[in-house]
Amino acid sequence: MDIEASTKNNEKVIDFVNERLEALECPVKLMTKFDIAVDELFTNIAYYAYGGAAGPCSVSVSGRPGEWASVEFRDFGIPYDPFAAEDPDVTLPIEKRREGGLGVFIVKNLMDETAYARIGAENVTTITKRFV
Amino acid sequence: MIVNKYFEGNKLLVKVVGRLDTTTAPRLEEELKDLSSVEELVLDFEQLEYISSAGLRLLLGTHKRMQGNLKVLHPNEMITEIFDVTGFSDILNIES
Repeated sequence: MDIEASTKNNEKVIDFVNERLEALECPVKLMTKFDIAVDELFTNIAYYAYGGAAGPCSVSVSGRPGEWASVEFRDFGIPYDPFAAEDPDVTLPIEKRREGGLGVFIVKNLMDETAYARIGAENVTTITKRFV
Repeated sequence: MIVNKYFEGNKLLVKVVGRLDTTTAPRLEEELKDLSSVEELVLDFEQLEYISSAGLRLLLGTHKRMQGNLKVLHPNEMITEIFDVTGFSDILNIES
């Protein structure tokens, strides 16, 4: 699907991805993991890809029924590898915790594979999970 | 997301139903805006499907505002996994 990268569209993107995952016979538990990961990555693109301005994002789902699924995001924003940032220190006590920085860390933990590539003028961000 | 609030004296019980993510976290934040008369805040997550980092940010901020007088009840398996991965299990007062 092609959609404006805006957090007002998160629900639409999640619904679209769920529809495709269902067709790929993705177990419900894993669909929830994809939902969380999609919320995190699409939000990142909405906030950062176009410096807060509006811009397009295309989202697609591929996979093999009953085996695995991938969700791919493409945007034309500034080059940005979400997975390059250092993981946050999740052992810090409450007073020292920053509010944020956890989204991508969660994605890395929930998915089997995460990938980023700059292809021409596009950021291509992909997440993959096997069903068994 | 549905938010149900129950006041019992200075205690506020909030039942959150659905998903707590980028789309819905601002709505829960609005519901928790005025906690000036609340001494104990209890968030019942029994019917919460999942939480993303937008929800965690809200929990962290609320925990700080309540100076620790925040309890989270009945998180499901998915939410417990998120709490464990992010270290929130060590920060929050959670009753399963």
